[in-house]
Amino acid sequence: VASVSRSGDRSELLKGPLYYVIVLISATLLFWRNSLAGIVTVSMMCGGDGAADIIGRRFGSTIKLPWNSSKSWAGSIAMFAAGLGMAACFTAAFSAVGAINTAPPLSSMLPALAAVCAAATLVESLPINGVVDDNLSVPLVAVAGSALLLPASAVVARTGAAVLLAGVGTSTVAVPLLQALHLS
Amino acid sequence: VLTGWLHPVQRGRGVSPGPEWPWYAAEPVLTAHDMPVMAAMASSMVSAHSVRSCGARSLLGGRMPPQQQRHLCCMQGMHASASGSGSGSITISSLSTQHPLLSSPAVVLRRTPASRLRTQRGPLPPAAAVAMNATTALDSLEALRALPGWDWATGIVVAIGAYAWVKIFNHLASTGAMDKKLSRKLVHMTAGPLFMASWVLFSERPEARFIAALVPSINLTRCGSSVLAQQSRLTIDDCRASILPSYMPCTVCTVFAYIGLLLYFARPFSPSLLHVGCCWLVAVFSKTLD
Repeated sequence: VASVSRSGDRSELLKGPLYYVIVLISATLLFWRNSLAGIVTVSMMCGGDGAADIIGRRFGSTIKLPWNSSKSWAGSIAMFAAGLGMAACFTAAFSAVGAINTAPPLSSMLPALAAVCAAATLVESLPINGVVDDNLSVPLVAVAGSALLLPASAVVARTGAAVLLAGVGTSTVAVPLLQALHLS
Repeated sequence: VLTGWLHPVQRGRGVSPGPEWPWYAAEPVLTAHDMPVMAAMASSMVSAHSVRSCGARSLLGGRMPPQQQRHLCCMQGMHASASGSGSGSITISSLSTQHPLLSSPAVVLRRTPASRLRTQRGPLPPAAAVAMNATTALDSLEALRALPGWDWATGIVVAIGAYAWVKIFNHLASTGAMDKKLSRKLVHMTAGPLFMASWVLFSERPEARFIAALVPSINLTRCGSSVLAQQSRLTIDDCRASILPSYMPCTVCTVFAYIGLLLYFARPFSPSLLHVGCCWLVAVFSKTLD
């Protein structure tokens, strides 16, 4: 557990890994291997976010983003590149194995895929980490973006996307509300 | 695999998309997966249902009128003459072996379960014989996936692998071989994609995804007990011992809901969905009442 969660802050410890696990479970159950939405979601949450953190810490000390002083251009570009690369690799591998067999070829989907990754990167770079955890906002935007931008045959589980969005959306509203009620 | 993707013949050129064609596809595209299926169809008259189960949805999913299907066959360079109705059975009366993808066994991709091809009756044309003789790693994976209990075995192996993976990084962080933050981030970066890569190992059965989802679910209890340990300043082992009784109703109901879902997917029966719903509701409310 120590290597999955941050030591020290309790709520941080609770939320980050918990959302991570919940997103993994949801992506498995709702999208499985035949939808691009799950691939993009997990790629952006794991590969993108991780790369942003590592590259941002190492090279991002100089040029910060104009709208968020704690995030850097280097980190955001790394997140976009790593997330897009991972999503493209997984798409290629899955369709080579035959898991995705209804989608158009990757080359024709790359612009839309890049747009989804860019949207997730943008949301991650916003200074809203205190409001919505990165492990929640990035998957949410990735699912919504894939459902909207990617071709319908590539995002097989549209109802799955809707259920995930509705569920996570209500929980983002309900959980702070319940906490506030509990505290008062 | 890549040659199948990048092959110029794969792109359907010169055919104007009909109204049925989806808006995003500027030109009709077939994947290399359809090749063995075409060969299979040529081998005997295959009903539209079995063709669909072979994975030729993009070709025969009912989106295309028959004449476009014929166009596609010719476009592919397969020189097949096809006839059939949009929803019924489709017969391919002749199929040439000249297509580069069909003549090289290495590129003939799976997606056609080899066992299904072999059981088909009737003499096989050379092209289908080539498709059948393709023995790749994917073919053997296909055979393994068909084993009873394969999903459970895979799930257990993946769960053990995931546990070992996290333990390795924990160990590296605790011995000081790696920075704690870096090790945490590396686990964050690798665990999800590795788990996602393991999806391929599971079978096509509907319950496979539920078995796969059990792997990250195991981590939920770990998260819970570590939170309790932080709150109460107890050791993590104490909390694991104390968390089980308080989480027992929730856990039991979740397990029951899970079993119900698995049963439902094994044999669809609507009352079992009711059972799942009830178990899940009780699980949720037992937690909030607690």
